[in-house]
Amino acid sequence: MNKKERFQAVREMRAPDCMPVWPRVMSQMLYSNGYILPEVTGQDWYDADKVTNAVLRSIKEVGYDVAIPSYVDYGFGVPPLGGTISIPEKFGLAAGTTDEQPVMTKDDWPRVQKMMAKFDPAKTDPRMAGCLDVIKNVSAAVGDEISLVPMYYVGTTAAMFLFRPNEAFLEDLFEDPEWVEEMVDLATDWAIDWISAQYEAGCNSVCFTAETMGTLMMSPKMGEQFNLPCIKKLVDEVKKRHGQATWLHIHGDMKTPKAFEYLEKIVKEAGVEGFHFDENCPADWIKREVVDKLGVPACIITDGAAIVKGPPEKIQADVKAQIEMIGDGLGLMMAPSCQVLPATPDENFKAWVDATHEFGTYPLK
Amino acid sequence: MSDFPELTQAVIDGNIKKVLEIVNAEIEKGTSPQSILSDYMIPGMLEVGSLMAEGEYFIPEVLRSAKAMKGALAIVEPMMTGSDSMQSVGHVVIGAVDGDIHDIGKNLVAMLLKGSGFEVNDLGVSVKTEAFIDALKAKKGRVILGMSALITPTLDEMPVVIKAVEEAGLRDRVKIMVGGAPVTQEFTDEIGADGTAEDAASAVTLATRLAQS
Repeated sequence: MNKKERFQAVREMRAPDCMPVWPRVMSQMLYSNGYILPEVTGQDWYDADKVTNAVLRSIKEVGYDVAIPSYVDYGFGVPPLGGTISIPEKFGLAAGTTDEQPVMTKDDWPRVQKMMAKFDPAKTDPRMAGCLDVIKNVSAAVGDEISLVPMYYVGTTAAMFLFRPNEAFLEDLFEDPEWVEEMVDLATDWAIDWISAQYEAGCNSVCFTAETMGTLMMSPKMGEQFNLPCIKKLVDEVKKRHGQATWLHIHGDMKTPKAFEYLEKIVKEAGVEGFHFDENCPADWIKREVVDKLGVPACIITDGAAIVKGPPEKIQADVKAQIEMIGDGLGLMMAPSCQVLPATPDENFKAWVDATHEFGTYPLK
Repeated sequence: MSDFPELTQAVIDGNIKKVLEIVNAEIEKGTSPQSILSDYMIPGMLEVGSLMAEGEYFIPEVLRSAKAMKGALAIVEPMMTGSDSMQSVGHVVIGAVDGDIHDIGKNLVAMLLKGSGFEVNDLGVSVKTEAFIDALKAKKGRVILGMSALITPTLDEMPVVIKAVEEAGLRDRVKIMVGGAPVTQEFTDEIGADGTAEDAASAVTLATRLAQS
């Protein structure tokens, strides 16, 4: 099987030849290529050549089975709207937001709404234009062999990153929920257009969206109120515009009754096809409760500390132990934890990918 | 019907308007600021911490209560002078370790500690080792150092700080507590810290015990 077929088998709950592996974020690919984030991007520029080289090298040398050629970056769109992004060096997952956001008070909202109405994902933010160039380059090089996945946030996460300082937004949830609904609606529409631009640049597989507040930062009840409609809107639009399904990355403990009820609604009402959880959800729980009970594929997560620290032998042992918990393993693929530092050496990632392919040969032992 | 007094419940509910109304009314009646704080408001925030630990409250609910608490503190604290002034239970230096920018949990602990009578020096996030040491040196006598880390990779900074505390000759008078999602008891023991707590409310209990030990 090639990488595309492998991923397709997981989606269809069939046995692949071996368990495919989801990639770690762009910044790890950059670090392993010897770059730090400030060498690749700034407030209004983006070095597409360096990022292309990093992505292609990572696909080839680490061996991921899926590629996310956009930069997992929650600063996209922010500088043109009037905010300032931070570009970390150490432990830097991505360019992120600061306390200088486009909407510092509600008085800023009409101005930002007008700017959003004219926002062109291919032109308004030079960083996004650079990202689309990377997608085009990677697509031309390896688009036939590997699934290229577009990615952005949805709902409250998208709104917080685009518009408001973190703590202010979290207060808005109670103090002005109607305004929050306006913000999440507009942010989700923007996210859909950004994802569309990534498809037009060459992405060719499922959409990967993320709602990182999940049940980590807000209650399942708030998730249902603010995010469920947005997730559904995004799923429907991606299907309509591009004929593609959507996978959701969501943080938090989904094992509590109320959280699981929310998860069920994300599948049955919003139509999400698959999940990528964080470290709160162990592999055997995911197999039993998500794949077997809800009937959707999902990623299982290797402990972040193991991949960061290594050594390779420990990583291999952890992967083996994990795969031994998941029965027939149908509907599952391996993914890295969000806690894995970008500055983790490729040697560790390679050990992790190779171990997954080796111990995850189907039928699983 | 709530089991808590009205002011305590208003803090738990994060009802800032009601909190301020009741605080002002109590002051008019002659209730001491110290009593308002320790008998009503602090128990409210401790309950908020417990609700968070139980998975009933999440960050927005906690922030809402914290805002109500801050509003009330702004009234009662300036009134505490002379014999009514808050006797410090202990001194705490707190911060998220170098590389870690997560602060909501740390801020909640700092607020609860302050509300519980500790003098708190909050150094913020991504605090370098030298900054921790300077802050500890600046305070005489017994001091509690509180370090937080919310992602596994930044845990490695904690033993670095502990070693620096030892090398600065401060370990005898500095008690060290560590916390954050990836911090386990095993890790705490391994690095030689004095304790860890699973939630903000327990952190106050731990700090109180360390201050008295």
